[in-house]
Amino acid sequence: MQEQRVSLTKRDLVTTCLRILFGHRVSQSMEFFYGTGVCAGMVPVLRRLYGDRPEEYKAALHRHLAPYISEMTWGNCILGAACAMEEQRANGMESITPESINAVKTGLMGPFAGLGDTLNYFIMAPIITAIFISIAMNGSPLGAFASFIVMGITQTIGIVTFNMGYKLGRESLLDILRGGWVDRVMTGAGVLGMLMMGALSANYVSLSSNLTFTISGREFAVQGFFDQIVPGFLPLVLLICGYVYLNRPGANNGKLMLALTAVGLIGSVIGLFG
Amino acid sequence: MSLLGALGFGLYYWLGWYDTVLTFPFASPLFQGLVCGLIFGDVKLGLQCGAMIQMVYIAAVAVGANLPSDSALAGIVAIPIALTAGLTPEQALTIAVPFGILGTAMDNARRLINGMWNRKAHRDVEDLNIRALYFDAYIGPALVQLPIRVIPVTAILYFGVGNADKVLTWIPTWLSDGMAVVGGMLPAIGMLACTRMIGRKNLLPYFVIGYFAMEMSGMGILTFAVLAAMVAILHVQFVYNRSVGPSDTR
Repeated sequence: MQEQRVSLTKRDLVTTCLRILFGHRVSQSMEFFYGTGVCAGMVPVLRRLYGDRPEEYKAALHRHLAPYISEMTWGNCILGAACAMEEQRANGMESITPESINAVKTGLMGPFAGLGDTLNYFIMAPIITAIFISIAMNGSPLGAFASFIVMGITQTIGIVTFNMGYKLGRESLLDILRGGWVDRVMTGAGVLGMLMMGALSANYVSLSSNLTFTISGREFAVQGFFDQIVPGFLPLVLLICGYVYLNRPGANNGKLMLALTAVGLIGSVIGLFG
Repeated sequence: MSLLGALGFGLYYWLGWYDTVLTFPFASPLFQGLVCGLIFGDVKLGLQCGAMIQMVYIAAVAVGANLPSDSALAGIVAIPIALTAGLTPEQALTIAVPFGILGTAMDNARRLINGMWNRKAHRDVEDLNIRALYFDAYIGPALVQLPIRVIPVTAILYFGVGNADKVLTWIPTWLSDGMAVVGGMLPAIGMLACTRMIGRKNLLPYFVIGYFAMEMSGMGILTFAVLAAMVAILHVQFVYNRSVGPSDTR
């Protein structure tokens, strides 16, 4: 077996992994997304592999400047695999062309974006944040550290997947994506997310009515009726209306915010809400 | 508030938006609440304001390249104002929201400008100038952001804080009552945004189950999370009742 011309040291990999994890967003733009950040992060690895061959070095840097966007913690395995591929290429494996390295990056960045964004930011982060919000509402300063915990978790995931990507390489990543477990995890996470969103809404969305009717001389408070028969009725109605609205074409959160503000103010003034 | 103090908050906001993942937690409304609470001497109110604002933005994640709302700006403006004027957390929320929307404009401007650093990076790589590449990737964009982030926040806080008292006396009762109602409704936006992003409309019944289960039981959110995880595990088992292979072990 041919002896390795150049080998990536642990330090190269750690530096690159951390640089990418923490530095990819600073220079983000609409055209190139995280490309510049990724390239700058890859420098330790690329310098080790191609430092003595300026033309190759330049070419490698250029290909990693390409527009790149994904979820950068679960998706860090892609860049780990890219490092493995670059190492093989630098050691003479002709079959690993620049095109194949780019194909791995662009091909995998989409699926991992969907996976990572959903798991981290639509499910894990809100749950942890909600727990810490409860703590903060009760006056404990510990509650303020929600985002730090979330960051700790996501960045750890980023480090683990980077190593995984480097060791497994491109083929195994594709196998993982095609395998059945991704679907199961997403479904399970979806169930968990839905349950938690419902529970959080019950805790944090509030709306009650001051409306009273007089029927045969007796005063009848609408909210009292709701509390007896269907507790939490009005907030749920609000949520359902909001959900239906957001599914219509042209809907966006900004308009919804304005609508809610208007409805809330007017409703309060006419004595409907309070 | 002194100009220096306002400038301090402006810089804090800029640091939070340096956008290394490391500094963003400092910009979360929850943490801003703690910091401002310590500075202004009312930690409990600070935390409560921070919590209320954080709630609305629980789903305001920068997915891909889109920022739906700037929770950091919302917090850094509303919390100092609320603490110095003794507002309620609900009132802080209604100040915060418009600024959250404003903040997206700032971030879009910043991303547009960053294009120039990306293009410069291409030229620096051509010259194999690695130090310049590092500058383009890590320092340049943040420096350019300085005026965009610092100046508006400094101006708003410098002029807004002292005058919040006067503004409050003008606010009629119907408006502050109305603001309280709106404050209760707004978190729904964050909840709905998250729910929609999870997708999977066939799982919506779980939302209703979770809603009423919490409404009726009032149990702690952590306990609920454990139960929800159990249900999720069971659901997956019921649905995927054929094992995939040796890699799938439970």
